[in-house]
Amino acid sequence: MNNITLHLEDVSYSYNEAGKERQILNKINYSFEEGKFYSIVGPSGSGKTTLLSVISGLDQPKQGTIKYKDKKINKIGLTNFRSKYVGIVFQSYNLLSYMNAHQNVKTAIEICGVKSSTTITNLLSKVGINEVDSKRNILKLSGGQQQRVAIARALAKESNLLIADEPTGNLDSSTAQDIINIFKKLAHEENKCVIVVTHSKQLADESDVVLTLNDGNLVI
Amino acid sequence: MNFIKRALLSMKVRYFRSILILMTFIVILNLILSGLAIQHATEDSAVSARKKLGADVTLEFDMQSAMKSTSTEGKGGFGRIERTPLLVKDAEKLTKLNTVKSYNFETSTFASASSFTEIRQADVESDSNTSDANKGQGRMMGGADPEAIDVTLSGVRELNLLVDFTSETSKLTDGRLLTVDDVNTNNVVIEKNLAIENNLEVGDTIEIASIDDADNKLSIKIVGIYETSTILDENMPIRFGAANPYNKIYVPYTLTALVITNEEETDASNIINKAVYTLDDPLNIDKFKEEAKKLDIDWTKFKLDANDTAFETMVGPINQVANFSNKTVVIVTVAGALIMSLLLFLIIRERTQEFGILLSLGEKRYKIISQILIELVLLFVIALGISTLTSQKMAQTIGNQLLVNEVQNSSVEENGFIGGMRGMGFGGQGRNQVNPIEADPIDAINVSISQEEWKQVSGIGLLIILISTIMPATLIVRFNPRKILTRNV
Ligand SMILES: Nc1ncnc2c1ncn2[C@@H]1O[C@H](COP(=O)(O)OP(=O)(O)O)[C@@H](O)[C@H]1O
Ligand SMILES: [Mg+2]
Repeated sequence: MNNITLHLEDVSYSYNEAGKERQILNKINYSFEEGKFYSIVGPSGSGKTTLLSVISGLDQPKQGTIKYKDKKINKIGLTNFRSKYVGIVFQSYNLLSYMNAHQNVKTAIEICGVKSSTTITNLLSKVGINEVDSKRNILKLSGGQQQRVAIARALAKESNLLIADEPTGNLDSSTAQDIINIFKKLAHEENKCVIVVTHSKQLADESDVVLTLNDGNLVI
Repeated sequence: MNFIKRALLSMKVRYFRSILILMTFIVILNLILSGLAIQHATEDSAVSARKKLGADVTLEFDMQSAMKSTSTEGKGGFGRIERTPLLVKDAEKLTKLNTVKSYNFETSTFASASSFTEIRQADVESDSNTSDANKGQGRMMGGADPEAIDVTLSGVRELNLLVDFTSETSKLTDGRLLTVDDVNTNNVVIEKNLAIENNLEVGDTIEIASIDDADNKLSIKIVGIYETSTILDENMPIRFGAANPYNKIYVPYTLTALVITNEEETDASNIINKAVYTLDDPLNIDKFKEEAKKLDIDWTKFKLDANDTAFETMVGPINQVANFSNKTVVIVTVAGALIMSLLLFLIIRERTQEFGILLSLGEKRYKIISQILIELVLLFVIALGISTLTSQKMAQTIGNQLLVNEVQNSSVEENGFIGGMRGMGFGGQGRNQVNPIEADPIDAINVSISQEEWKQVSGIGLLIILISTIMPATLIVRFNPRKILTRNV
């Protein structure tokens, strides 16, 4: 049996809209394991982004606990959790625009504070960014290249947990396939727990576990 | 990349934005610094005007206010003004004030030469009209025979403090000057020409007499001989001997009373024309005046004058500029602070996304705020450096222009006004009206900003940056990164 990386216990989330509580996540219980590539699917507005935000420490659940390797992430501290234990990839890349690829990755490493066992150049080449491109301003790279940089940045902290919200949403299908392959490799060869929210059937099909979010519940 | 390197990189890469912020800072700082520099320069000018005019304050009968009250009471002409005598004991009250370094009492009267002959202009220039003129003048001098008004007795407490000697129009050539020790003695100092003409030397004793009563004689002893550089106006005929500067005899202030035989002023030995107080510092003049006003002296009758008219003339235009610059500094500072705050607010709002990204990477909030602070403070420091240099030039140009305008505006009114005053000022009988300092309006300022003010501007500027950065930035980063990144902030 694989090690449990992330454990959700009765995780609920609701928005307060005009005085009315709107339940988005409803007592979700689930355990994510190392070495697996998860995809989360579900209709638009079903709460996928909300779920990812909560498990990546970008937001707090209204109820319930999230544990990273048996430790409550609240105890770890959300800022600390984000800096050291979770790599996050966004649909819109969210790279720092005044930096090149190299500097973006370097920033994440310095914030994490843990010495990387591999070089930034290695990290970038792993996701297919060559040395020349790594020195160009981030905005001069294509969407696919930017997303690769974002993944390299997420890998920089050498955490076990990689969380991505529609990472291929803005990419053409062949580029998307490259990204999917990277995720697969990370899960299977580097024993990472990869959780990806997607609309893409292509991506979901290639994942190890497909979870569907429906009416606030996560079902296989 | 740590936050310091990020700050530098951000400034470098987004250089266009950096330059825009820099320019805004420079413009605001230039305005504030120039305003302050002009303000400072005007203060300096007022101070140097004070210094130039010296630390002397004169206590004397207030002729102007007497004239004013006489005319408002409807009693009519100047002739009716009665000089309230200034008593020595009143004048001595002010000497106790701790700003007074030294002081002098001055009196003045005329006397007849008994045992010697005064220097007569008639000796030089014989003119038949002169005697007619003498007669006319004599009538004005209160009925005394003009032929009897031979010499002027200038009474002092300390002769070296008298403006004649401080301005070096008179210089000692033999013997010594009169000091405090000569008070109540008959020691005198006479002019060289008078001495030569009469074969007099230090140590000799001569006789003078009252102009009203030739029998009222007084022996005086020559302790010093001086030489005056005052030259008689040759166009003005000498009507009586006392008007000739050679016939001026310096005496202790107590002596002048001895030759006055006016029944009304029986205790004339206690009366002086004026007291001149030399302060330790010209800048203490206002303080001295303030303290003096608390003393028991009839300030409706007497006035303290520190060359005030001259001072006003000199600093009038400067004060106008100061007035303007003070207002400008306030307006510009407030407007500058507002503009800066607004600019900083916009800059920080614009960087919301960046904050969200850094937060999502697990960056600490204080480091995010520190990064933006470093950027803005650095730009501010550069702007401050540039502004310190440019504002100097700007302030000098603006300041000079403002001052030139003011001097031109004021010269018309001021001249007319002072001319009138001066004419009236000569009303005092036998007074030494000495005005050795010409009072031209100050028409150039030396613009510079004091370290104190520079520190203030830097301090306030930094404070604005700190507040205007930390406040909105904190407002943003206190939200969770998800909210920030989805722009729900
Ligand atoms: N800040 C918010 N305030 C109120 N409702 C929100 C907010 N963010 C998202 N929602 C709502 O929550 C639901 C789930 O949103 P989200 O998690 O983004 O869905 P998904 O990613 O599956 O499309 C949506 O119906 C959305 O309208
Ligand atoms: Mg979504």
